[in-house]
Amino acid sequence: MTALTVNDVTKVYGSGHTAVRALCHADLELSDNEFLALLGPSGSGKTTLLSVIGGLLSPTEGSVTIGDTALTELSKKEQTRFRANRVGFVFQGFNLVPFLTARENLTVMASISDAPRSEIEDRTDQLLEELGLADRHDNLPEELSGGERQRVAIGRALVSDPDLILVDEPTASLDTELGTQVVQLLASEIKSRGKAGIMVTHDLRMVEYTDRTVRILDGELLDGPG
Amino acid sequence: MQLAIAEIRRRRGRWASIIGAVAFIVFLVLILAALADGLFIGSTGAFRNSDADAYVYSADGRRSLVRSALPVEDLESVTSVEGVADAGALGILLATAATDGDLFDIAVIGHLPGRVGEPTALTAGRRPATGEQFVGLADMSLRDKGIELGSLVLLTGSAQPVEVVGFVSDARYLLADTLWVTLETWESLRFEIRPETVGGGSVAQAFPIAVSGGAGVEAVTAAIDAALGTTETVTIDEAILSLPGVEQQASTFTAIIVVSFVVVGIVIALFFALITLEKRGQLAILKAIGSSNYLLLRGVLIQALIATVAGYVLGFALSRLLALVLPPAVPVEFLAGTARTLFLATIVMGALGAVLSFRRIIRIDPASALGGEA
Repeated sequence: MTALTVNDVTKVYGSGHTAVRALCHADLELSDNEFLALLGPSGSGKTTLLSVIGGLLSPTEGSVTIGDTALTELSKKEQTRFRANRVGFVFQGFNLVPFLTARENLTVMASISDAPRSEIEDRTDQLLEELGLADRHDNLPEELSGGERQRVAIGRALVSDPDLILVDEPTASLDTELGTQVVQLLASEIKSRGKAGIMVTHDLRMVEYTDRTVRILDGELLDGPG
Repeated sequence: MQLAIAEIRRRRGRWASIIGAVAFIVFLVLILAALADGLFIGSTGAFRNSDADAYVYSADGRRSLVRSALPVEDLESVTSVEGVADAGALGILLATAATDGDLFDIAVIGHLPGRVGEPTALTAGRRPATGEQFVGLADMSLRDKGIELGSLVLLTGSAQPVEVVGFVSDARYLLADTLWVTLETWESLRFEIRPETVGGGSVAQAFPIAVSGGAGVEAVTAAIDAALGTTETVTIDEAILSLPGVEQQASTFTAIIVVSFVVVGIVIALFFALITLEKRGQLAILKAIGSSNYLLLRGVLIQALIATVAGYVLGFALSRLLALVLPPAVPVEFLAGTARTLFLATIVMGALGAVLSFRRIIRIDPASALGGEA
């Protein structure tokens, strides 16, 4: 089944002489159980595309559909709720809540998403186990290594059982070895759950862990790793 | 909720500082309010602690017990005005008294026993009988001066002491301890101590009035002034506010307290403005993963509530500790009603301060969470 359809999306920042076209007629389809790498240099528009897909930015033209929901037709409020329940995010540089423990960084989704708390808590314990964090669950982010923090971030993205996982430069703050481990783990977690995932990266070495690579350059999508 | 409370629990240092700041202001406000209440109670007891609904003064007395002078025979005319259930008479004499050689200021108040205007709360002993000479009721505060039942109080300039036969509470006048004697005794003492007042017949300085059930106080005061022509009759509340300094004290303290509460609001507002600025990135992430504005704003309100309640409790405890070590001469009164009002005001100001950061939080763009901007 199609997990995501990006249809003819254009995003223009500003207007008149200062207008910048960040995305230009982008089309993209993603199936369930597919992990895609979005590869491009900085300033190519990959973060803009990820933001539009995640409902964080509205496109100037075109539409985004996740599963059977036309995301671009929802109100801001509905989009927020949609993100809470159907989209998981892994951010650059970990971005955990600094005063919550590893476990609480996952269970916090119980107050954000509509899933019952017991469900979130069961899934939290299972994820912490799978991600090798069972004995670190009570530690604050500052007490965790970079790799551990990124694993907590992966857990948070998955704990509300979303349909689509969006990953922004997951290796940006990690060395190559750790970065590779994290992306491998991410790929296996996404695939084992039959979810769809998009990973934005500029690191060519990471694309081997994904099913497909789409390149982006000056706001235009080009198939293949190039 | 989980986020809001976890933040306070794990960032204790900074939350302790805001709770401490609120506590300090609350402490200050509670002490000021206790002083204001103490001054008010100490200044107005002689009037408040009676069954009077209104006070009649002479028109040229400008609502002052000291300046007013009314012929005692007018009392009958006042009593006969429709709507007057009972009328008494009051006279005041500010004097110096001595017990066993210690001198202190005292207000001797002449009154008619059994008539309206006498202090209602008899705490010990008995009241003077009508016309009984040189016996009196002492305010409880005179116990601190060593006066007991049976003590003889000698006023400077008088040859005959007054025997204390009873005690009343909360009956002070302008922070002076009071001794309540019959109007006849008061007149004798006055002639003795203030010889210039001799002559001109028997006078009182005010007639306290009780209004009968169905009559309106305003209507009765107007009727008295119309009947006598030479009086100014005011309600009990007006009489209390006309006591020298009472209204000015109340408005000065109210102004200081209001300003202090504005400071509570500003302190909370600045604190939340600062932590919101610092948490921008984190708030953007929370919004990106689906936190609604409502959830984040509710968290801020819960935190403001916790900070102000904790600050209030601490400030309240501190004020009570200080009250324990204050010398008894400082007129502080901690009233439950005042504490309740100030508690509500603290919470409202805290909430208002927190609300000022709402716009800033709402304007945080969740899209800034991506691309490493957060």
